[in-house]
Amino acid sequence: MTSLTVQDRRGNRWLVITPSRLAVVALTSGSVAVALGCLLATGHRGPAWPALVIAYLALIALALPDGLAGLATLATYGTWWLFAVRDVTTPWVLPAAIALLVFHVGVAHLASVPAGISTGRDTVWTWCRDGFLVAGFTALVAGVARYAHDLVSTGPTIVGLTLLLVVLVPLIARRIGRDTSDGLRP
Amino acid sequence: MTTWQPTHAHLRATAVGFGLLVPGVAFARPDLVVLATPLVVAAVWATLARPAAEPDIDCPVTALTVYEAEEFTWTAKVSSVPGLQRVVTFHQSPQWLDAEPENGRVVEASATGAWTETPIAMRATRWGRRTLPQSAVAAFGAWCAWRWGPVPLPETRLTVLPVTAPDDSRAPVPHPRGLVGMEQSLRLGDGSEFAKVRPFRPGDRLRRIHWPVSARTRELHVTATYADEDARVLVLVDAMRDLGESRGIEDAPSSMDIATRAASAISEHFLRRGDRVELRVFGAWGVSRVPVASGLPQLRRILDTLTLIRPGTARGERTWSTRMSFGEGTLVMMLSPLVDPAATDQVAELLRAGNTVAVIDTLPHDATVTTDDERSALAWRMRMLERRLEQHRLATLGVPVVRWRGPHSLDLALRTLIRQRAIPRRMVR
Repeated sequence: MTSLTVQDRRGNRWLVITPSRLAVVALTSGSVAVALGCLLATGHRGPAWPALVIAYLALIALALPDGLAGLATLATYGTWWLFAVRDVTTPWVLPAAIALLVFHVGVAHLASVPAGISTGRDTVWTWCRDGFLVAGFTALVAGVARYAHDLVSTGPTIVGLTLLLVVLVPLIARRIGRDTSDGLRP
Repeated sequence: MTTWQPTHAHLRATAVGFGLLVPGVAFARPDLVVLATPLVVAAVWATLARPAAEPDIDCPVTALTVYEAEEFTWTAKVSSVPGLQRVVTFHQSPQWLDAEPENGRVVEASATGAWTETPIAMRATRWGRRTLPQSAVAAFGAWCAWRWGPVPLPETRLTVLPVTAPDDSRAPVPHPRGLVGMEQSLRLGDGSEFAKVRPFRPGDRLRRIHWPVSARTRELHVTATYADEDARVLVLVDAMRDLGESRGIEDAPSSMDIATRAASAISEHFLRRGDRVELRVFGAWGVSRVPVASGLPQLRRILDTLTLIRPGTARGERTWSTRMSFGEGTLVMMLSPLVDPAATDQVAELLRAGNTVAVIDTLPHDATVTTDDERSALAWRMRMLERRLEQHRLATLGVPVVRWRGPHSLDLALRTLIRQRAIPRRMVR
């Protein structure tokens, strides 16, 4: 058996839990906790109650992954970050960004696979491979942002990073898409 | 028609990613740009890797026949198209069907093959006919940003035949009538089983002459044998009620579970011996009889018919409908929990018509009423007392009543009938 099922005598299932789904839910919940911890660690200004709102929205997103609750969670978090964080070069932004990515991936996976279906090794490998690629690129952007911030003024740094995103990302994505269609996917 | 549609994940990545990137640029906030980067990358990646064509679905198995507890694989195939990354198959298994994985499967798209397969191992745990309902397949692009489907799959018709346990019973049947088969006849004739040595008569075959005895007595003697014959067996199934709770092949059976499995075991036993077997069912609408025949194809016909039984759908059926057009001397194996009076009436009618009847008791050992109503419990106890009395009366009439505990119960019933064969009994015509 791959799942714990609670069903009545007629075979109607009331609850289906699989270890892989529990792991994904734990990972997604943990990513929200990490993101909130990063924001609170930056020495933010203003109240901390938006963290409760974000946690509540994240719980809704976990319960109803194929909905707008995930978008609301990330949007609320971004808005709070915009107004609460004073240090624009804080090192906490990189783990926060990766935590947001993990949350996004976790909710997307929960929405695509109905309850009770186990996640296989291949699926985990695909998510990890794509996630590490994006996380690596995010780390590169964060490094460039921090390094350039000390050398030049903020405005050109931002413009440069945006150009980097606009030009490099499509090239990388197109290359990866061509690789996968050529049969190079593991 | 199903097309590729953007998902909430794609909307989330696009809206939040660019929603953070724009104020990051506008307010010169590199931290916001870094926050937006993974989501923007995911959104752009998914947009560029959008699947170009729509996949095809193939569900090769639409009808399947298996035995109880037999494992089989159900597969849905999705054709690989550029950009397709993941295929998800999900289903709701009907009762009496174990599936592994239990609710469906997620499979990464095949990078080399033309089709992506989602095999699901299944195992039927109870006889009957059913379908695999509520199956659907969906496909996803990169980052689960594009979804195709879910598309419902065509239903698979599943016929689960009752399992037949191997039987090594050697007890003969009481009244064999045919001219071929493995049964030992009551009369002498052309066969292989030695009976006696007797004087030669005109018409005897020369190869039957027993030369040692002929030389000693100076008179021709021949070896007489018993004729090899077959029997006509009627398997009569009482489907008036299904008593007890069925929990599948490996757990507690209901009365219909016992009856169908016993009927299949009895039919297989006699058909493998070369006898002719007929099946009749009373108490189930739409299932009446399988005409008498021999050979293993008859076994398959009987098993197919047993899967159609819906207990209790024809309770008003008259008892005489089951005693039409089968001859005197037929061995009747009646499978019944003997709870409904109609079953006892059947036995009386069959005895009156001159048949040899054995009753296989199919009432589960732990059958009882599940309600808390005291009057129902009292009524059940009274019925059980009446049932015991009826069983005693049947025994006095020469009808063995044997509880089914596997194929060896058949051996006990047949040997009881053989013992009672020599006892004269009254027959009403």
